[in-house]
Amino acid sequence: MTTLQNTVKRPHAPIPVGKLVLYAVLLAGAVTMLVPFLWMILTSFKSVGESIRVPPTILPAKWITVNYKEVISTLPMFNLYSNTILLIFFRILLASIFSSMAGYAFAKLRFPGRNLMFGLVLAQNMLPAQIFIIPQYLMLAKMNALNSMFALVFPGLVSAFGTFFLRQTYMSLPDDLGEAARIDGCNQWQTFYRIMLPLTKTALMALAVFTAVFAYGDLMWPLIANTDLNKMTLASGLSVLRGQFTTKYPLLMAGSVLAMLPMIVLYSAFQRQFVEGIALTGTKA
Amino acid sequence: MKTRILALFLILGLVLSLAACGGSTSTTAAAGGDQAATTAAPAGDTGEKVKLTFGIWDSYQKPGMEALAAAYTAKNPNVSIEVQVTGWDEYWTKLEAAASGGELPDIFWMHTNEFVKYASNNMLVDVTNLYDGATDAGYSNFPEGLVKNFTYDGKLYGVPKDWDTIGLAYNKEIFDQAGVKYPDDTWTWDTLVEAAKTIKEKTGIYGFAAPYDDQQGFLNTVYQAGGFTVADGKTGYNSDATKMGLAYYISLQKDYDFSPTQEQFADADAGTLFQSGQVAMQFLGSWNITPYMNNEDIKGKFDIAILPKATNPVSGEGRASIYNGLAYATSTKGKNQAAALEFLKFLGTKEANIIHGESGAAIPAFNGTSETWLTKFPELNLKAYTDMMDYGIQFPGSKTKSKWGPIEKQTIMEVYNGTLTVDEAVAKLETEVGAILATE
Amino acid sequence: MTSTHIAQVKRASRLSHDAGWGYLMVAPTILGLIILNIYPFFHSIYMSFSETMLFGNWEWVGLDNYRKMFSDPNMWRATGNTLYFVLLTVPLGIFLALAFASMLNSQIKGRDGLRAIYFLPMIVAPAAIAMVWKWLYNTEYGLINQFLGLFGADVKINWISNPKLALPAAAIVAIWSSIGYDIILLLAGLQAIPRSYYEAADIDGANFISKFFHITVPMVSPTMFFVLIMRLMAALKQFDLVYMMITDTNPAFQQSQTLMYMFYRESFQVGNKGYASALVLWTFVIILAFTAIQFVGQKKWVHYDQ
Repeated sequence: MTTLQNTVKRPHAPIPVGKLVLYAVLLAGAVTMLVPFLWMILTSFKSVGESIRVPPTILPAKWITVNYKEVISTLPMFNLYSNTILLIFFRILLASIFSSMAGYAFAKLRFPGRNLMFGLVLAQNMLPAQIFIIPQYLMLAKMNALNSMFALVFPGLVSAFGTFFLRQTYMSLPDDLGEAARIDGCNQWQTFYRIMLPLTKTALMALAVFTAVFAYGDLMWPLIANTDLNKMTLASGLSVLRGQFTTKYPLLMAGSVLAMLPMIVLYSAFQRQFVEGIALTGTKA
Repeated sequence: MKTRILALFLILGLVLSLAACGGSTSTTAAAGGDQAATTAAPAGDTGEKVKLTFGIWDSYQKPGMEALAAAYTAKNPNVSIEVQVTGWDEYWTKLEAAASGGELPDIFWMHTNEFVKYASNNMLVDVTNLYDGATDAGYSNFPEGLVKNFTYDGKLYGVPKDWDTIGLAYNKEIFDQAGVKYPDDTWTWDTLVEAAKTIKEKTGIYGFAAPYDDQQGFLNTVYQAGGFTVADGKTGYNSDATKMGLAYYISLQKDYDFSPTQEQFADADAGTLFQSGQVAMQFLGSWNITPYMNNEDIKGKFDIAILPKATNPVSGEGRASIYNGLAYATSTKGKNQAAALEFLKFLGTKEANIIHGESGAAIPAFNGTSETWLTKFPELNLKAYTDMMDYGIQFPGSKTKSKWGPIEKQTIMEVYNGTLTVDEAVAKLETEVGAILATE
Repeated sequence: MTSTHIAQVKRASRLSHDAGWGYLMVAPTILGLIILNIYPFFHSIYMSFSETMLFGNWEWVGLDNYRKMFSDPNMWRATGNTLYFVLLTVPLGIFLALAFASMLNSQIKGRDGLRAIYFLPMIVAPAAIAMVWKWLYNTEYGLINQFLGLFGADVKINWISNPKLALPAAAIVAIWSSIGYDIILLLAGLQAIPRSYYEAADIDGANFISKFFHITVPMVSPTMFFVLIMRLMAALKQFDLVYMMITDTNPAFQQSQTLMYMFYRESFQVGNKGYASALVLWTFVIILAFTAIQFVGQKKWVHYDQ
């Protein structure tokens, strides 16, 4: 009671030292996160010579925009953007649906062979991605499905990462919820769909972000699966700007900056969901 | 919810505005994949539309390759050719996957490092008889070494495209500053050392860049001394001449202070240092000319001379320069083989080589056309490169190069790291590389 | 008695009911995994017992690759480097991620903007990241040496070419670039903790430290466990970063080559896919061992809400 009165009487309490330290640390961290991003932008306005010069310059001696013009005229940006966005969309859809179901089943249901199957999921996470490239490529070649959106999505049809992640999420939800639902007459599917799934909103958001970032940055697979430049994603499309012995860095950076824009916009828009997610998953029985 | 819709509109708007500026670079549509166009007829040479894909790895050479494609399609309007650039790092992985899956581009560049792999596995079409009956075309018009490079089991599997040699690049401004005369054909190994020392003393700038490098580095000095590393299935590491050449090149970095150290090269490679005016000289392969001339920092400030000769070679004149060359090849499993072979044939003609040279992409392989490359940058003494071809030594290779190459690198790196002496290194190489060569 | 009998019957029918739904719900994922990933894995195992002649031609050589591998000093060095890398990145990385996630979960101004900034490294081009860090680490002009030089004499530390420092330098970049992922994951976990717990603790007079260790850590432990496993696997599979920053002509190369880097070279440069597959199997065994230890150990510290 006394504390309440105190806060009412002293609305402008001094900021505690702890909070100051907090801000300082967060800001310092933020600066280090920003440095490469700023470097990308600054380099994209430099000339080729200046971009590799030793000692390096920070601000461009002369701000030139020719790099952006050249990227736009050399690469089919519209197609690269749309392929990337579509790829992200499909991968998120597939990952969310299949991984939610599997994650729930592994966490809450008992059936023979469950642990063995979950072991398979874990095993896939333990293997390096490089060993899958050629076999998956050959599968697509046999299906005559190369050089298409399906080819791009193919490795992401199922997500071992997503399954593992959501399994952990479901394991942290109390079993009583399931019990209560069962008593009310729901079967397993309804328990999953109506009760459990909605509680994983924040986790699903996180999964969407990861899937998006991974699909966005994957360079090797789209390059190998699709030969037509118009069917590539942003990351693989930009890699053709690299020469054998030297790279026109300002060009590559200009392309990379352009490629980042949709991701930034997407993230900022969906960040709200992140924050709002607390309200729904925060309260528990 | 609102912010989400806003975001979507933002993205849409961005994407649409970019579409207005740029747009698709290919003229073929077909959302269902390119299968439709290319599987039309097995040998489309009767006036039907054929689309060929042309795989390369250097974006600097794209304009040159497109010029060649344009020249060909002008005369053969039923053919359209799409040049596809893949970054060097990914090119071979992609090619290998494509080869396994039977989806190679119709025409692609082939490199000596990888050639044997593809030829010995029946991936490339035998083009030995491509020019039979042609009057002014044929393989006698190419340097013997290049033709040999792409011959396997007595048959030729690629049409030579270009060759490159190594020259001595020097920064005129730094030389002027130090008051040293520009390199010329009187230069020997000793002259190089003296000049580099003087430059370092007078200006404080590094005189010569001597990083670990085979093609642009020690292989040149080894052959200049009269030695060899690998040739005709035999090793030559453990000879006085080879040791002399190798020791000389390594000493340029380790025994003097006019070259950056290997640690410094890890921070910034020799090319970066030279282009930034941090080092006065380097051994430079001709393929670097176009990129260097694209860099306004160094353009106009440097020139090329022939490599210095060995002061006291164990055998021979003391002059050598490593050369290498690429070839065009086509796949045995291609769906448009007839059309591809026609284009391939064109690429090996004098006319095509002239176009190639004039584009400045690389030194065209057809004898007598190399002058066209010299016209690209008349302000440079590019003749040095063509002159070096007289002393050209083919970049050593063999069927098992991918196995002994890394061993050579690792062993010689240990000399740089100080864990092995030159004598110990060559002895080790003689044994280990010899063992691998014996398996061929 | 009757009630337990009914309970038993109910449990039995529920078990079979469970099983039905269970199989159905995992079917798409497991099927996909088997086709897309497990089959290539078995293919890899098979290849590790053969010498590949490329493009699908191979011949069986039994245990030769394994014999070669276990007697290859390069492989043992790579194993050591990889384990060292795990030691450098996992404990510090998780600690920092949890610390920053907690900070970003508290009531501070500009929280949304800050979160977006920590997310940035995930979408910045890897080429840009490698370039910037190589510049920061540059011996002559790098910002890091310049900053350290402020405290005294000129500092000329060879961050990426000194065999002792190269891997730690790469580890710093690894932690830096993946902290965004871990923060997002941990935030999801932190936000699932009901505010009421903290409020109750506040009423009891708990301070920040005590709240952290008695509420935050246990409640977020399932997510932390996940982050730990993923970080561990990623560290053991490390390739991209080291490949971009430390090339094979770098004096520090032998002290920095990780197992997956060696795999890449053997598979794509040397072309010996059989040997490369053996390396993958070896790495897999190591990861398996680490993961198994963690899964057993989780009972000690991971708190699943029941």
